[in-house]
Amino acid sequence: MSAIGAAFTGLGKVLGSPSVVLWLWLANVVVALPAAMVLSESIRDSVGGSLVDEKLRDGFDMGWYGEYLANAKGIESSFTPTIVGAGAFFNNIEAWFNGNLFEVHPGLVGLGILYALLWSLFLGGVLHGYGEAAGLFRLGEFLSHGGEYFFRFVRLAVLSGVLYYGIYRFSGWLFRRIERATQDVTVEESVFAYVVMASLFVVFLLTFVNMAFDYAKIATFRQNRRSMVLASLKGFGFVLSHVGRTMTLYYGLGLTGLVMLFVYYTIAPGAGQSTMLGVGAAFVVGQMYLLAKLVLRLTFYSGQMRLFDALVRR
Amino acid sequence: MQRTLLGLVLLVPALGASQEELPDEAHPSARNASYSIEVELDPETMMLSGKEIITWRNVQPIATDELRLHLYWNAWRNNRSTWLLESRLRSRGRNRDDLEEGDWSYTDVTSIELIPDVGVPSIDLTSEARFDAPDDGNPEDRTLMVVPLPEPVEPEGIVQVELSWDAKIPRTFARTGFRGNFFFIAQWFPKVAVLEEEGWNAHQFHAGTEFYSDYGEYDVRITVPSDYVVGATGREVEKDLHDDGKTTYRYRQADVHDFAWTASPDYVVLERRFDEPPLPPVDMRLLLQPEHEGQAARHFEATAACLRNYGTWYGAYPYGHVTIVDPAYGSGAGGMEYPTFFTAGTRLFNPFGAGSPEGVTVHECGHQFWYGIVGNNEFEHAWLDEGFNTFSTARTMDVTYGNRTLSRRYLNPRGADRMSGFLPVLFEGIERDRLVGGNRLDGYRAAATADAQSTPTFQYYPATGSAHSYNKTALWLTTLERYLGWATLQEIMSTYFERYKFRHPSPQDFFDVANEVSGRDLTWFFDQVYRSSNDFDYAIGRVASDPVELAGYVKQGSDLVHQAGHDAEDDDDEAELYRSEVVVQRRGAAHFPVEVLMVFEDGSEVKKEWDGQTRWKLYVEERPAKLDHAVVDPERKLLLDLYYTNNSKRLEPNAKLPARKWASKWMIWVQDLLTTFAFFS
Repeated sequence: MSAIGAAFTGLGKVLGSPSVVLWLWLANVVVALPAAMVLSESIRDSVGGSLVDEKLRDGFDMGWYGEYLANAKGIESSFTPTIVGAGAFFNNIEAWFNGNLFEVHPGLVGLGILYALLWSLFLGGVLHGYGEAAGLFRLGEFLSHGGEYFFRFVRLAVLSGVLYYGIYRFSGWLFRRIERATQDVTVEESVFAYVVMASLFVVFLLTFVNMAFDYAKIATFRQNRRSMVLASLKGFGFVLSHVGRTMTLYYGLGLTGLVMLFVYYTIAPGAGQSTMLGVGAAFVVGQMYLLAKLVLRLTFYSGQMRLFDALVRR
Repeated sequence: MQRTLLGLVLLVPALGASQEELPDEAHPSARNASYSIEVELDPETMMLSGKEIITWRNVQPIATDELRLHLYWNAWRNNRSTWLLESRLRSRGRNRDDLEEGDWSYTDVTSIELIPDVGVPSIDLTSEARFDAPDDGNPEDRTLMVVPLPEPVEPEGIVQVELSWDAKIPRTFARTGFRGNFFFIAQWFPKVAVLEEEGWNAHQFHAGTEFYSDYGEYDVRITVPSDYVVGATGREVEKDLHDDGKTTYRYRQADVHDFAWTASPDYVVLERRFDEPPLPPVDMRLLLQPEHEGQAARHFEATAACLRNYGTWYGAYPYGHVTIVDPAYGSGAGGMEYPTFFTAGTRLFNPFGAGSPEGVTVHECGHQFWYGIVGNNEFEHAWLDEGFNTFSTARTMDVTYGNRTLSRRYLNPRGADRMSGFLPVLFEGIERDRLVGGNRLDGYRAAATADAQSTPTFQYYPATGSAHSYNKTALWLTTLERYLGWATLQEIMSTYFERYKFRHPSPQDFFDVANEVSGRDLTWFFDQVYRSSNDFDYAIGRVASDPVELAGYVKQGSDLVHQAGHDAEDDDDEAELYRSEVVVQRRGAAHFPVEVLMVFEDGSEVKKEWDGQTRWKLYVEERPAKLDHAVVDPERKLLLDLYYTNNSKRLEPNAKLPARKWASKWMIWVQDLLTTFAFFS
């Protein structure tokens, strides 16, 4: 099976099981919603009866924001107007690239870890759904499969976490080396070129580990593996044995994600909604993009499973 | 005038006849600290070797038996200097623990000779020189040299000394140094301090302050490899190509108090003339990095905006020429002012709208007026130039470009502290205005009560100097603008400019001008914004508006009868009256007269004036309309008010929609953050 064939087959499988997508989206919303409610209440308290409401309704007020931030203590201290439009996604990509995810407010880090654990819990169900013949989505069955693999996937996450940590340490070392090596370079274009090349390398390392552990999970699921060390080795071994197809599939889907982000960047609603309808519409557009991202992420798993099945069960 | 051996009026050929540097034939400054310098740059060893003749005239009514010289580059001689010790407290700048041998610098004065009268042998003072640390007694600090003189210099006496020195060029500290083949050379020569009526005003080099020097004439010969382009204070008057592959450039400038220069083989040189009568024309010379050629017009236009607005508001730029330097990437030399010469600073990707390089160009050009022409003591009263200039920059940016768009730079490499984001993104629709953004209210808020502005700048609480010097001054000048009116403030500032150009004004000089021109005694204002660290915060404490009801015992004819609450709906003939109450509070320690605006549902308004002295005041209005909202300081005259959101209050809050709007946008970010965490699971 070709990488492109796996991608399209995988996408078809994902789109053929919208319940899985909706369930995962709902879980995402449920985890994020309490935080948003806290922020909403906090903004409401800050604005109170003041006339700032008009400016925040029609756009934004940097003056108010400075006052708000000066008094923000909890998760609301993570609020910044740069989350408007595609900025929300740029900010997170930057944090992912820099390994700064854990520098957001501890409350949000806690939610992030919770969500990552939930994702590990759901993943067994996801793989089961995409690995078997299509059937009706049943939550109990979904969670049952998730529970079966949960601890194994958590162990895989710990193993991959060690590698990610090492990559970030390496990344810091690499960029400091570049900084030192270019300290007499007077042309930004040159430094930028070095940074871009190094950044691409770091991104490659992060995604390569991610891809290998995707296959480790698939191997664990397909081969009912108990040793996560061996499963990890299997994941890396599979990728290295089929470099062309695995990487074409992974990075092809990754490129699709970048195209999606660019499209969202061009159409993303800004700060100008002044009615509840407008606010709702902007929120829906954002949710649509999140859903699309979710579909893409699931297509990684589904497509990779197709590829794994085709190449291992041959 | 008493004439002593040192008091002879000496002729200094190299310094003569430079009046043509100014359009005015008169000498607008005292020209009492003049320099004739020869310096050679060795890019291989990163060394400067220099020789200078200082001609110093005592313009004070007291005699002095010493000269005090600033050797600023010794601030980076080792990590025990006052500058580096203080910079640790400030937590800014590059990692001081990560310095390599080539990063350090020093100025080593190899000889000091007193030049007496013609025909009299010079007197070697080298061994007499010592270092002093008047501010902190730090024996390791070598930024201030004291040269005892054999005889005192009496008032109006002149002394002339010749110094030779070698200096190691630092990897950039405080905007001076090198990066590769880019050199920005500032605060580089032994420079005489300022003698005041009370004695020498000579401070060590501190991490949080800049400089203070007398005006004079500079005649500087700079020798560099011939492939280098040179820019400097003043105008190039000679250029000598030597056989050894070096070229000497001669620059001269009168009526300035400093001299800086730059050299790099990479500069693209562009020139344009600012010619907007009745202001005098100014030749603008731009030394641009090749990768920024597409941004040349933006630099020229911002410089022109500065010359136009500052020139119109305060007084014309007198020198006829200015050099704009676009420093090399990562050099750390950007955003600094020197007489007739300044550094801007831009990036490879720098979309129009975010305020750069326009803002930094206007600001550093603006320092030609506030610092260059009006030469206050930056060691002690940096706010007199930095604050005036921040105010003026914000005003110029506002009238020229309008609001700035919020931007953020992405692609910040992990761990590389000196590399900031390469890829900018503008957030259209989210803007920074002049009042809050331009005047930097947020930065002031965090440090508002940390220190009084009257504290000498070099003694400000660590890392708050910027907030007190730049932000607070800009905020209180804008407050004065809105309180007195722009016409009055402009007259105050232009009078101050005219009266103190080419001089060293003190804070009191400005306060006196403000009182005189405004015709008011503003001491109460300066007492609060300058002499105290009190903060301002006015707020609407509570609002209420209810129908007037008369209940209880009332006189009806000769009887006292009991009456229940009045219900207007039962009495069509009587218009309903509302009793509206507004409690205004002074939550900060400082006070300022404010207006209180009450707006009613029928659109009618009542405006009251409150002297703002007491902690609170109740306003009551009985009108046939319910109160809609109340605002204290509705025109936002008091820019120093730390929290303006609490200055208004509606009877019926309306914050639900904006809260949901921004929380929903933030939720999308949180949702995506969660999925980013899931990447690692």
